[in-house]
Amino acid sequence: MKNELKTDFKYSGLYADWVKRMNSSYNSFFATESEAALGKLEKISFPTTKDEDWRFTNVSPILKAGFLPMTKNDSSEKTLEGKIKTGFYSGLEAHKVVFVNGFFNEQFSDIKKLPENVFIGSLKKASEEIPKIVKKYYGKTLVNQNAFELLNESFASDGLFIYIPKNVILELPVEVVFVADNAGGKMISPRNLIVAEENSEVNIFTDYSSSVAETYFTNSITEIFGDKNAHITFLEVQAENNDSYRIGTTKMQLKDSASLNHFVLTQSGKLVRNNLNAELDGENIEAHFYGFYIVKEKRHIDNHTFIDHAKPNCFSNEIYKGILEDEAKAVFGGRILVRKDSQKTNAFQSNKTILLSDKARIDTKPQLEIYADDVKCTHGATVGQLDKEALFYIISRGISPEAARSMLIKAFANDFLEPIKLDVVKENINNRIFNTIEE
Amino acid sequence: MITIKNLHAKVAGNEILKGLNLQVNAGEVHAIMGPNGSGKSTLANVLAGNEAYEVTEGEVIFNGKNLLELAPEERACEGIFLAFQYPVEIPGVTNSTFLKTAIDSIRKYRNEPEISAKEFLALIREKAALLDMDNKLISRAVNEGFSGGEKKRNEILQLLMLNPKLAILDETDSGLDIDALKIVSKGVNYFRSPENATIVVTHYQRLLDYIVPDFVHVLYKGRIIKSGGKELALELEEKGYDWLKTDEVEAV
Repeated sequence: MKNELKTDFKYSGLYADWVKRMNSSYNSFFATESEAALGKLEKISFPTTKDEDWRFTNVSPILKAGFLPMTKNDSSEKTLEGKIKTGFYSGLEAHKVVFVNGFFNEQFSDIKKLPENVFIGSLKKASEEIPKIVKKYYGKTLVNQNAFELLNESFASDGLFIYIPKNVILELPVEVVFVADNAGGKMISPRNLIVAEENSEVNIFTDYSSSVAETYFTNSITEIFGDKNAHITFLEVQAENNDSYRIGTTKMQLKDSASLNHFVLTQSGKLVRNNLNAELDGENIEAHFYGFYIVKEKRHIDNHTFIDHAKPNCFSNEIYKGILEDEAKAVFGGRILVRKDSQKTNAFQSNKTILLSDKARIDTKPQLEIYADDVKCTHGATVGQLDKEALFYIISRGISPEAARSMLIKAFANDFLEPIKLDVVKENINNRIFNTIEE
Repeated sequence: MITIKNLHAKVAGNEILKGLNLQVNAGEVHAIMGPNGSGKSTLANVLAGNEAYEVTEGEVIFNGKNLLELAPEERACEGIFLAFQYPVEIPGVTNSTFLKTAIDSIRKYRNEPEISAKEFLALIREKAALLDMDNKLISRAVNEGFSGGEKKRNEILQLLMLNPKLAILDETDSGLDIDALKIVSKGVNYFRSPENATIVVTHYQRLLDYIVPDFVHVLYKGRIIKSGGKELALELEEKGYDWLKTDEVEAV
C-alpha cells in the first residue's frame, strides 16, 4: 500500500513510446542498462515520508505531476545561444561542455585540445567510442538503488563523461552547463560519469539552470571515481527555476591517497533533494564536502549525505551551511559510518543555518555510526539568526544595517567560498550567493 | 560637544544607569572609572546606540542634536565612535573593505564623495604604521584570528581612519601588555585635538599614565559620585573605591 502512486503512474509504460521518439538519439548501451532498471523499478516503491530518510521531504508532488521523459527533439536550441553564453564564468579559460535537457550539445560546447586518451563530453558518444572504459565504471557506485536512481537509469540516454587517464593532470578546468529548455511537463535524466585514474588531477565546475520558468523535473545521477592519488575538485551549482523539481544523486568512490573537494550550491528550485554518498575505499584519503543553500518563499531543500569510512587513516570534512527566508524549509541528514577496521579515522561534520524569518524551518539530523575505537569524529549543528552583537559592531562604524547584514552573510558564506581555489569561480559564486539573497 | 542629563538605562530588565550627568567639551579627555558593574560599559554602549540597552529617562545632546533619536549608524556618521571591549570577528570581510565601506558610508551621509582607492590606501598605511601594525593585518579578515592585543590595536586603527568627533574607549586597556598599551595610547594621543573629545572608560589607572585625562569621574551604581582632575585617578589607585562608597558625593 506504501506506493499507491505507482499504480497511478507507470513509468515503464512510457518507455516504448519514448524510445520510438528518441529514435537515433538512443543507443544500445543505454537500452541494455535501462531494461534491467525498468524491471527493478516495477518492483519497488518511491520513497514516502514514512521512510526515515525521507521523513521531512515529501516527493509526492513530483510523482503526481506525471512528468514525461524528455526526448532530444524537444528543445529549441536556437533561443539558447545568448543565455548559455551568459551562464559561463566570465574570464574562466576552460573546456566548456553544454548539455541541453541532458543531451550533449556540440554547437555550444568548446572543448579545447586534450591530452592523449582524455575524454570530455558526451557519455553516449563515449559508450560508442570507448565502451570498455564506460562499462568498467558505469553504475558501479550504485547498490541497493532507490526508485529515483532506477528511474534515472531507465530513461538515461546521455550526460557528462570525463575520463582522465593515469598520470594526466588536466591543466584547464572543465566547465559544464546543463540547461533545461522548453522542458515544461518533462523529466530530464542526466547521467554523469567522472573517472580520474591514478595520479591524475581534474577540476570540474558544473551549473544547472533553466532557460525559462516552467515546471519540470531533473532527476540526475553523477558518479565520481577517484583512483589512487587522484585529485578532484567538483563544484555543482543548482540554479534551476523556482517551479522546477530536482532529485540529484551523487555517488563517489575514492581510493588510497585520493583527495576530493566537493561543493554544492543550491540557489533555487521549488523542491530540491540531494543525495550524496561518498565511499572512502582506501587509506589516507582527504575528502571535503561543502554545501551552501539559500532558500526562500515556500521552497524546500534537502541535503542527505552519507560518508562511508570503509578504510583506516582517512579524513573527511563536511560543512553544510544555509540561509532560510520566508517560509522556506531545509533538511540536513548527515550520516557518517566508520567501519570496524577504519582506525585513525578523522571525520568532521557541521551544519549551520541562519533563519532570517520566524516561519523558516530546518530539520537537521547528524547520524554517526562508529564501529572502530581509535577515531576522532565530531559533529555540530547550529540554527540561529544573524549575531546581533556583530551587527551592532558593524553598524556602529556608520555602515547601514542592510550592508552590515550582507557583511555578516558574507562572513557566514566564507567557509564555502574560501576553499574555492580559482579566483574567477570564487568571485562568481560569491556574486551568485549575494544576488540570490538580494533578489 | 556632548551633554548627558539624568540618563537612566536598562539592560535585560535591570536598571544600570540611574541618573547620570556628564558634560564633555571639545578638546577634552574624560576618564570614567568605577568598580565592576557600576555601569561604565552601559554608558559606552548607550551612547553608541546598542539596542540591547534601553534608555528609560534623560537626554543626550551631541553637537546640538538629540543623540537618542538617532540610529547607531547615524550616530557614527555624526561623529561618535566606540572602541569595543570585545571587538567582533568578521571572517571573509577584509579590514580594508570594512574600513572603506565605513568611510564611504560616513562620507555619503555628509554628502561628500567616496574616498579614492589610492587615497584610502595611503591613509591606512600611514595609520597602520603609526600603530606598528603589519600591512598584512590590513588585508586580513576583520579581527579574525587576531590576538587580544591586535584586536584592540585594530580598534584604534579604525578610530584613526574614521576620525570621529567623540571617541569612546570601552576598557581598551583590558588584556593588553605594557607594550601594546603604549602603542594604543600613542594612537589615542595622536587622535586628540582641540576639535574632538575622548571618553576613556577604564577599570585601572594604568592607562591614564599614557592617556592623560583632563577630568576623572567615578561611576558607582549608575551615577557619577565624584569628579576631579587627573590626580583623582591616582587617589583611586591608592585607596580603591571603598572610601567613596560610604561617602557618596553628587557630581558637579
